[in-house]
Amino acid sequence: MGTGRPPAKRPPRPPLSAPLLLPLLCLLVTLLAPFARAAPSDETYEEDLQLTQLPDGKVLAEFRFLTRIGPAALAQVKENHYSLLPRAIGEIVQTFGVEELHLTFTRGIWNHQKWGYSPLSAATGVQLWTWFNVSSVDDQWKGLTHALSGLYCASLNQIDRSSTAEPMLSFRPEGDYEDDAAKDNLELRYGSLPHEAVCTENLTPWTKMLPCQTKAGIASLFNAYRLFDGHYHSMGTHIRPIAMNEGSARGMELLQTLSVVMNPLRLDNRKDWSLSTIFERKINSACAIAQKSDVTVTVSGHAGSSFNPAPLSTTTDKHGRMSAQYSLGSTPHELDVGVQWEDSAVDHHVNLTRSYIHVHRYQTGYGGERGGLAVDFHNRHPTADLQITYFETVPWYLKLYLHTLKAETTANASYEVVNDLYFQPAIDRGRPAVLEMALSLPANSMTTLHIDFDMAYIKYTEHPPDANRGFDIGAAVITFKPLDASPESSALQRIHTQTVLVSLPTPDFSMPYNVITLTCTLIALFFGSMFNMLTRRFVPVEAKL
Amino acid sequence: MLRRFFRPAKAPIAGAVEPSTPKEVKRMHARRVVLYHARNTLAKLSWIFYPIGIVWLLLLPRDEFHHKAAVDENALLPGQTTKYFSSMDMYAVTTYRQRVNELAGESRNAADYAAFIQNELKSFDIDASTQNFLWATNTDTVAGANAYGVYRAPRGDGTEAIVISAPWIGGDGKVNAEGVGYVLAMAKFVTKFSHWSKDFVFLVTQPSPIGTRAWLEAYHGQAPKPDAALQYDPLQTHSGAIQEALNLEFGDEGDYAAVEILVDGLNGQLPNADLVTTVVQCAQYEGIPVSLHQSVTPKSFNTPLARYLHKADTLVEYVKSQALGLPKGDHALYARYHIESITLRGIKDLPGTQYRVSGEQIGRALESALRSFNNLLERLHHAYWFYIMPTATSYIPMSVYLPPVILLSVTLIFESLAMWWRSGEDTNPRRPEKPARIMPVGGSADTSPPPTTAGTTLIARSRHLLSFNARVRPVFIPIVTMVICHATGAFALYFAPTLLFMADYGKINPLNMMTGTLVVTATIYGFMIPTLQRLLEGSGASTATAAPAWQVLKSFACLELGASLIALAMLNPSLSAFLAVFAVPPFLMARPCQDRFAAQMVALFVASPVGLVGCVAIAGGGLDVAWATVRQSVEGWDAYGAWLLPLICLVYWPLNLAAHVICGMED
Repeated sequence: MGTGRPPAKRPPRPPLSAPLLLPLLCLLVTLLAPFARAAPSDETYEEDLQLTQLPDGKVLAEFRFLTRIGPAALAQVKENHYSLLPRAIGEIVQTFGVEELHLTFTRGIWNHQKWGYSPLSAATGVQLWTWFNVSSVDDQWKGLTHALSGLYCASLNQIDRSSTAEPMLSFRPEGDYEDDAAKDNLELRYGSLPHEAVCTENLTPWTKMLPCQTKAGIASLFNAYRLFDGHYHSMGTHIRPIAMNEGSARGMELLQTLSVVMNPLRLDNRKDWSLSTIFERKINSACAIAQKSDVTVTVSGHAGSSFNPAPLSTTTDKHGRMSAQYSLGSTPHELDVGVQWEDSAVDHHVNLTRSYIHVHRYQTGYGGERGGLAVDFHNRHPTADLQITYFETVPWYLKLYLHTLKAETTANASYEVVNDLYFQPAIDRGRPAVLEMALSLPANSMTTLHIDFDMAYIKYTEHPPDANRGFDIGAAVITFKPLDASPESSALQRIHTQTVLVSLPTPDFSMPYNVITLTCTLIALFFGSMFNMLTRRFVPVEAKL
Repeated sequence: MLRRFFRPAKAPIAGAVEPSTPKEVKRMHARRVVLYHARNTLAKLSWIFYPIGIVWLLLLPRDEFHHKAAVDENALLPGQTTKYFSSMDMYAVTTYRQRVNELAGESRNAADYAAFIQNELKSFDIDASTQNFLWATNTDTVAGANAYGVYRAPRGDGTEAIVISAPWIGGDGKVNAEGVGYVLAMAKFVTKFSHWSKDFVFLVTQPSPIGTRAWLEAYHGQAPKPDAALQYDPLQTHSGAIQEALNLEFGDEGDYAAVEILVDGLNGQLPNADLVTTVVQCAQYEGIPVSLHQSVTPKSFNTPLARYLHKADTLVEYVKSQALGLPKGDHALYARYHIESITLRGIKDLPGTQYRVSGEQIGRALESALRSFNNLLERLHHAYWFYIMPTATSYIPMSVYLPPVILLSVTLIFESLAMWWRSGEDTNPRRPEKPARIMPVGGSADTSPPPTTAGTTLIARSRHLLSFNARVRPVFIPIVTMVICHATGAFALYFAPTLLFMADYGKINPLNMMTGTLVVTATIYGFMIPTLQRLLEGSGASTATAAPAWQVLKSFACLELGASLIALAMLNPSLSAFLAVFAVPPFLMARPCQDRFAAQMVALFVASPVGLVGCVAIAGGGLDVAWATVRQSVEGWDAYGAWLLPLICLVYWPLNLAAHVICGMED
């Protein structure tokens, strides 16, 4: 756009002769030709790949595909004219009155103790939260989940009313809005599917939203065999409104992210890696539509590492991590970036300075009747007390008892841990129980929350029809402001706990069980009449004559 | 409506036979007759079930009763995967074996062992931690430590886990160096692959099995009670719900003759048969002989008798082990938490074996079993939880072994019924008379019509149905007796740990304690009960209107023992059969009787807990064995919650006392 405009805005010149006009016209056409496809000029597309080698030798690859739609393009979208924005997304956003949408598909657990915090970490399974600006939110939410279910080949339609929550404290709109009143009018719905098996069938529709799909650019690295062979895999779709210029109308931002943790040590038992060893692919060419197409490689400040090929530039951040920048546009040949190490030592230790909050949730008790949930919050920061928000949805078939909620801390018994508490009791088959707490974690302490529940004996049709091992309780979400964030920044960091598997009292649906049930019934009937007969005395009754 | 039946039938032909009795009356009579015969037969022949049960039990070692063990859960596919455990991994095992042996030689401190395991696990990028615990026994306080590590499955959600554990000191008292080596080598091994869908928890306990109990309680979020003998720390990290557990005991240095499987856990609870079958099949695919109770079943036998004797021998070992229900290995404690578990133990010396198992074979079998469990999408539920194993590859299903066990005890139920009838009815019931119409009295040929209809419309009530015949059942004495006997048992249970403590500290001779028990028994049945009887209600002897008290007491006692043993047959058939074999004959014979008094007393004494311990001493080879059994059962109850002691103290011994009382009562 920047280069496209000067010919049009050129100041008036003295009239030119016809022989001179023709070549000029040709030049103009040639110059404008590449931009003919991107019709509205306020659409941009950027892609970015960050490769980070973690201290334990694993390589974290974060792909970001950012599409920005300006107000002009957004107006065209409303007339069903799409260019960069995928039509499927645009239609969903318009039909259901979605203002913000955050959808992630994840396998594995983000190990924030060893890998630090990442903005792309998400809960295992599918996690979806959406801000609506319409009145009939519940209907729109239902329609949205069904539409997304079809779009991504996932079981999102199973997020029904009984598993939808409305968090109060943990989530805030992340986009740019005119004012706070506009934010207050939005309504939030949150749903998750902890046991969704994310696989290539979800990846394929997701990659089809990309302008260059997997043909060119950093997305050409998507080798499903390798992506789904890592330790962690998460792909996300995030939509939010943005203000492109000061005071102007709002546009829309579509951010598609994919993060995957690979282990070069497991693949070929070396700490050295390159794109071709971890993805078995190289980047052949840049995506022609992308304005920016960058690759950044970051290693922790270990001596003895060397980037290959030589980067355009390197920087070192305050944590001592060294980053190397590459750009796809400037590389004529295929790009195969990597890191080589002189020593092969890896560091498996937990990094306490970068991950000072650690949350660990587990089930307590055994047996099929009752149990409990325990959450350990570790604040390992030596001096700072930390404010966090804890958000938990528990399905209705676990009957939580609020009076059993206990918060204990190792620091100081008089310390007020719980600052705020929001509890929504469950309704059977109607809605889940929601527990949201604002907690203040004392420095260098462990705080434990514990709550007891009874397990409901659910109807036999409510058990999944296929082989099952129990019911999953989705991850709890812990939200906090990073310590190094500036006071006015609204950036929030989220970490997610493990999924908990609960075995409800389950009748054995197999054939022997049926036989036993039937036989026992027969025996009971037989026993009753037999016992009755054996202990009865048969005496004639006086007949009234 | 009903009256119609009692109306005299219209005489079809003059001078015909006596008119038929109404249908209702006939039916009532038929029932009485059936009942009369049923009672008579049951009272006389209830003992027949006992020999039938015994014979059936003796037939169980025969092959006709055995089913070949097959995996019911299709997803397990034992042995069908490519195995990667190589000589390099075996090298890791042997290296760790050396280091464990060195460490065991240097230090006696469990915390040092745990720290070593923790460091090794951490070096494989596994979240490892340690747990300290204190166990106060009678003699001293043991400071123990567990080391454990959670390997998170790549892309797994951390909801399910498989435990691979090893005690530092094995059940045979040797340092379990190679078992710990296998645990560490497997920990290193599993990190090389991404095909795992369940987490792995690697656990090394010292001392065991109490360490396993501390770890399992803490894993399930249970805090120790402040006054409990076992105090432990909470765990730092957890995985999800534990589905299966493999416990490894390889106390020697390679060259095993066979791998032994230990299946029965605390209280004789068994793991799902699929777990056992999978492990056995995985081992056999690798060519490892699998032994059960220290014996490998040969492929063929010389004579049918040898076959029978071999299997009978294994079954007896099996019954002995299950009946005691005490933890024999770390696997025993998992069942309470609904975790299927098994112990694999390397057997070095097995008579008649030449073949030696290599470490790689064991490693590959372990890997293969883990791969099978990793396949499972659901809990193990297809196969049985109740079975008896005559060999490692076959089993006796519940439908075959349970009937004889129940037949033994059902005798007591029938005896109880018979006693109940006897105490309430005539002492000598007769066959019910056929109901007859009452003959008209004083009818003359002149006034009445000709006697074509014999009798009136009324039917005579037979003499034996008179309410005066039924006797009063005295229930006061029997109930007081039962309460006193049970209270004695409850006291014994309450004081058992204290008595053990006294035996440990005051060096009380076990023989003295047994004598003391005998004195208590004698006091109760020889002095307290008769005195109470006399004081409260006379002698309890029968009168014309009251049945003897001993019959009601026997009815109660037989009922309780029979019902308890039958219920126990479901949970622990071995214990039920063992108790029933000894207890049923004296219970059947027990009655006040002067001439057979001594014989009855001896039989009852043999069936009493003291007598049973004596039998164990005679069969097992000495007082030490008997004393160890007593000691283990008390400790098992104290430390792990084994039911043997409460069952004996609360049910079995009180009823044995009650049977003694019966013999001393008056007829």
